Amino acid sequence: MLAGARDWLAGLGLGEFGATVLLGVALIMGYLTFNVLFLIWLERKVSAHIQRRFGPMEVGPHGSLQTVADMVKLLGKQILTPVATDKFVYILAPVLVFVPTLCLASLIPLSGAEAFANLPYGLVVLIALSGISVLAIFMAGWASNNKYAVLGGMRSVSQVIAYEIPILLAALSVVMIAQSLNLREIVAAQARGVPFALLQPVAAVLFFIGITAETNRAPFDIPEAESELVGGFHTEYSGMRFAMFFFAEYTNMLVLAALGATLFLGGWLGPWLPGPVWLLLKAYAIVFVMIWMRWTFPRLRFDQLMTFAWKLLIPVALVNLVITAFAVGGRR
Amino acid sequence: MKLARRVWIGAKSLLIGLGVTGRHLFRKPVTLQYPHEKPDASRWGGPIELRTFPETGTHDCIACNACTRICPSECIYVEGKRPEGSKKMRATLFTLDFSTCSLCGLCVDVCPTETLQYSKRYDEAMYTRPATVNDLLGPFGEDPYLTGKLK
Amino acid sequence: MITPTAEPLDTYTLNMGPQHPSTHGVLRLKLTLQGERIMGVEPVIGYSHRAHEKMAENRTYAQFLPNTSRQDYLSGLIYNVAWVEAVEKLAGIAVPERALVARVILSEFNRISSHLLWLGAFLMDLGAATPFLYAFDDREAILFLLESVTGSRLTYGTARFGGLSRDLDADFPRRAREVLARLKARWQEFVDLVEDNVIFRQRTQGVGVFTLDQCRSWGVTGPPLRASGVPYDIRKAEPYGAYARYEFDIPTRPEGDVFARYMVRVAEMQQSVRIIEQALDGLPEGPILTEGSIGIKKRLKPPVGTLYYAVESARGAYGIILVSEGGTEPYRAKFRTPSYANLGLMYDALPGTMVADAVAVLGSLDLVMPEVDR
Repeated sequence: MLAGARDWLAGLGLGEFGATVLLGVALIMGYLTFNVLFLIWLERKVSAHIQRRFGPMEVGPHGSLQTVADMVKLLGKQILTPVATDKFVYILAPVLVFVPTLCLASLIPLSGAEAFANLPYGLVVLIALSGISVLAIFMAGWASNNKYAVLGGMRSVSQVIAYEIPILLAALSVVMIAQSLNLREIVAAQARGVPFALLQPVAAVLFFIGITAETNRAPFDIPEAESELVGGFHTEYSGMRFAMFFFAEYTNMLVLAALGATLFLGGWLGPWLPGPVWLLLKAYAIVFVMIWMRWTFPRLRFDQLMTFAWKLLIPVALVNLVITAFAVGGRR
Repeated sequence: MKLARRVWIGAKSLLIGLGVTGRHLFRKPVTLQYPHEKPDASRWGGPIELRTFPETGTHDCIACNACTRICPSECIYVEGKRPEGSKKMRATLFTLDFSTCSLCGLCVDVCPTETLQYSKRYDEAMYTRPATVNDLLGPFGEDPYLTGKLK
Repeated sequence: MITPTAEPLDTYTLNMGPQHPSTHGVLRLKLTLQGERIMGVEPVIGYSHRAHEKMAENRTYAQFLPNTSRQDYLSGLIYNVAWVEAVEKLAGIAVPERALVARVILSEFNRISSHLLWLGAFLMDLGAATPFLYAFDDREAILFLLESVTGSRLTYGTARFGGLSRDLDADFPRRAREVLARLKARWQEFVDLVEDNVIFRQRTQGVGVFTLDQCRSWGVTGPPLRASGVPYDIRKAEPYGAYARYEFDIPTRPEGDVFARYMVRVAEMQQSVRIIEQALDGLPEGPILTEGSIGIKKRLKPPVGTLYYAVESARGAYGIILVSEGGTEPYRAKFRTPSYANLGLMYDALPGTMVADAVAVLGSLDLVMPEVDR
């Protein structure tokens, strides 16, 4: 069906490559927008029921249209731009924080049959791209001309950098077993055996903790905590610009969760339902656990957060990597 | 090894915590969905009102101003008139400024005829400041004592 | 960790303004920071000053009753009863047995509800939002119970000279025991969710230690003092009302850190449950109010004299100095509020800690600003 749409668009004069790009962008953007609306609603409902409340109930059945109403309200808000900001950087930052996530989304294979990309070094590209969003966060903090925003930006940056390492090391352990950096190969390896979460439970846990910290979710959400004294990097952003950061955070959650599902839970594998549905189900399950964790645990203090990463997670990840290397080498 | 033990205890505590919230996730919410459901206000001490006595069908305020004198916020204003041939006065004007009333109940305790009582209203809201002044005689029609129907 | 230098040029001032989600009321803290470390703190109070002590000079003893609850709105019933008991002692008014026991029951429920609110707010400051809702769920049960007795949920005007204005109905013991059963089922949940949680422990253990000398120099009472090792509780040291009849412990911990204060308050809630159970078992029959509507129908004129009356509120020792010159209004009423003294600890405890800990320490003190400013 999608191939048919692509051919039709190509026939319109865009050419096959242009048609693929256009179709891909439309599908991804469309789905990600729906995803954000859905995730915000899910978070509000899950957090509400954990707290023995109902959450949104009035707008739409069981509050399903509440996010739409909130977006409409946000669109109407006055966008206050502080005077002494670095204008270009200030406006670019919210956009830039979203772009790497978009690239990531297009690189995760949705099923064995059709993928938006089939890169032999897919995993490396993904991890590299996810590091670019760090730049955008710091740009946002710096351009705001607010010492607290700079502080928040710097903290965010150091947090993301610190937690990328366990993510990478955990992914490497999986790569060693699958003998490939190609995501499709990794899923195929899981089809032949068992999901890697069973073979690499430590790596799975490390990866999960890592992506929770990457997306600034509790208990690692000091940079955006409201009850702390210093505001986060998005202090000086209001209205739709603030919504862009929000959008990026939720999209990042889903994309990284989908990556985790691909690496550890078998990606699109599963009986009866089509591949993309399974991938999304697994990704949303991981996101659900992230939401569950946010509303259960208190926040880690910033230095405790960094200590946890550098002194516990990274050594454990390295040890896991070495053990995996020996195990894989020994089997050969 | 001590570190491993600490990590294990820490991780276990986190999982137990998740278990607590997870259990609550599937229980019925305790929210009262106002205005679809109304709370139980049967024992609530709401804004002061005049009691209607079943024997006479009206209130028994004799405009003695004991409530006016005792009110710490000075929010009560009472005026009275003596019906012809009667020794007791009847209230002709009884206003209570709800914006300064603290619902302390001293007026209820001091009232010699036990006419003042707490009502059960809990959702009084008004749009203008003058509207905060409650006219306690409002719910009553013409006063049978003043028209001569009762003595 | 940034090691602070002696360079004053490195410091900057951060204003934790009167409107802040974590200051529990209108407290302004001018913090002098160096990097992440707090070098100095200057609390600015007075944003909630309503001149209660002056009002006491211009109101009769009965007319002051609504003011008492508004000083510390979370221990409103305890303060209400304290005023009434102080005046009763000054004027020599007898109180029926049933009223004494009922006052203890209601005061202890008030204490539990105050500690539950503190627990929720404190954990919300640390970042965990759900215990707040669970604590308020239980608090709702208590408030509904107290509403059935007094007619109010937060600011109680129920005490009268010589007893209480409304009696406990026949169904009250049964409903009260239901609430207690509900509370007792909740303790383990708080242990699982909060106390054993490794993140909570890391945030609170060893943080914000108050030494015994600091407590002594600022006149600290209540849970902060008991968490620093001193088992001082006015209900045991100078028993008032019916407290001498009941068996209960004073939870004390030696560490003096934020975690110790948390544990002390949770243990106090459990002791309060114990007191209420004993009181309910021994609830005597009889009148709830001494005959004669003292102070209401006829203005009360206590004899000339000065009295200091202290009770244990949820925050510490609450003392009333009542000076009577024989008139219908007090000559002077001075209120010694626990939060005012406990606030002084900020001067000693905050410098040297990190900004993120300041919120935890402030929350663990359980300050109620209206009581500081009166």
